Amino acid sequence: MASSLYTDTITKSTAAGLVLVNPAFQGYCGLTALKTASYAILDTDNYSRIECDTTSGDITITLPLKSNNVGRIIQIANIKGTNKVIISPNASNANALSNDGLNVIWLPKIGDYATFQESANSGFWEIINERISSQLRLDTYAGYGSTDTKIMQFTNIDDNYGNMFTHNHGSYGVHGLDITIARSGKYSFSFSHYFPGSDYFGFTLNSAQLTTGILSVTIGTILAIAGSDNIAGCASWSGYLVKGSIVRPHTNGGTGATHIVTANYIGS
Amino acid sequence: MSNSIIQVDQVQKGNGTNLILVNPTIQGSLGSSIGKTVSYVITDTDNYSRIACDTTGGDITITLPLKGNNIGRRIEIANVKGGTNKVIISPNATDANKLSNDGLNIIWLPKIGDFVVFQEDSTSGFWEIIHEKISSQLRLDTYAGYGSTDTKIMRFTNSRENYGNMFSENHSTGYSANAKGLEITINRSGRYCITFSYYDGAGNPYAGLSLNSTQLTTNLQSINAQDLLTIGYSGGTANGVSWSGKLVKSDVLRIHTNAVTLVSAWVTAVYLG
Repeated sequence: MASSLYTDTITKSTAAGLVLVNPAFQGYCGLTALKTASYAILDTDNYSRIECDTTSGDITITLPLKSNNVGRIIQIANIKGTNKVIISPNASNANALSNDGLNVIWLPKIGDYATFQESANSGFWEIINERISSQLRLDTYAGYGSTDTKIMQFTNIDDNYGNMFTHNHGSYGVHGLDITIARSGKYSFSFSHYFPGSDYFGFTLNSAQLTTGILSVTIGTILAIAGSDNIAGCASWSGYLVKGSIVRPHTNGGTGATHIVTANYIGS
Repeated sequence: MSNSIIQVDQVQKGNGTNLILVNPTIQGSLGSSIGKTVSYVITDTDNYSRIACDTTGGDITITLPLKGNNIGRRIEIANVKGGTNKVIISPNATDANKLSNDGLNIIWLPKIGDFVVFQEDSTSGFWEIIHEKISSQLRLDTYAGYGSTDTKIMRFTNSRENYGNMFSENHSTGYSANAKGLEITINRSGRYCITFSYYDGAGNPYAGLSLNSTQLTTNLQSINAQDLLTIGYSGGTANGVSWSGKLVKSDVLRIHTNAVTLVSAWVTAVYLG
């Protein structure tokens, strides 16, 4: 079905140019494009939705120059394939994605999408609608950081996709697991333990007391805490975090046995 | 592209008196977006479809136009810039309590990136929310005993975060002179998550969350089962409970225990959307 725009009349206005009186849409006015390879959106391609098939590999979609697209709305979606869509701003608009000033956003899962609207008021490509997946799931106790002696390290990575937060698993160095928020939003964390002895464990937020047991750190830096005494337990927390926040699995330093941690971006 | 343009394949005469523009495509945005740095009352004739608010100078109040003059109109209001201030959305004075199906009279957008899209709906009688990102969170810590009347409902000392108005709370108003414990009252129906952690020392508490309970002097493990959202037990250690789910306007959540004295406690309530 062709899309149509109905209007009672078209009149000439001195102030507004042509005026369509009582317009009503049938169908959809935006143009949708399917992309199976990377594509740089043009000022003049009129696309309002880019559907990406990642069957052949990751696809990078580059937004057009902001200043040539004032107010434009563009949705980018991952609709098929097992690879990710990578969204980048124009090279002249570095760090202009979302109010958090991101330079790249991944859509790692089918069904993920982000709708951007250029905003001259904020200076960003605002995200006005989104479904973005980002999750980290680790298991198996691997000790603690040599410097951050109460921050746990893990062995195995079960899930790791998306870039709404970053982490240092795989390159701990002297640290334990650090999860750093890249996009302000709602997150959930869960940390399940079995300690053969007794210990306390949970999550701290932006703590500087990384060699202090969680039971003794500044109370306002604790997000969640639980204990175990030859039993298993779980600490979990959900809430809003701002860009730059650092969440860590923090314990009293007991030797662990079985441990699982999951961090998930719930959404905006 | 500085101006919005509608391109069409052709213009046809309809069966009636109207015209049909075939296969229109839009360059730019059909709606008119405006930035605001101070409070603004949306008018019937300003044609704005998006109000982008810069709260650098302080809170900004955006007032919606009269519903009756804006049938079907769609308006997005966004907090796009600023620091710690908020956008406050109010209906026209004639349309009191017409924001969302929950009949709110005010909605806050406390965080940058928050937005809400309203559409006037004559059928429901409200400015319907058809899309949103609204932040609302309360984070408290430090055990402060129990209510003197509601003896099984916990109180807290410190507020670490408290923004948004999707729910209200009585911590910031003094727990009714300490007669009550913490009450979290839902203002907008939606999905919420509440987490509660504690360290009991040696108290062996049962602790968790109750919903709309009237048994506020009854130990949590003995209240009506249908009022219990989640419960945990610890013996001389720390523990935590959490619950996520849909709550409706006016629901009241409480941190409910068996009134054991605790060493430390933390609670976070967040509106998920």
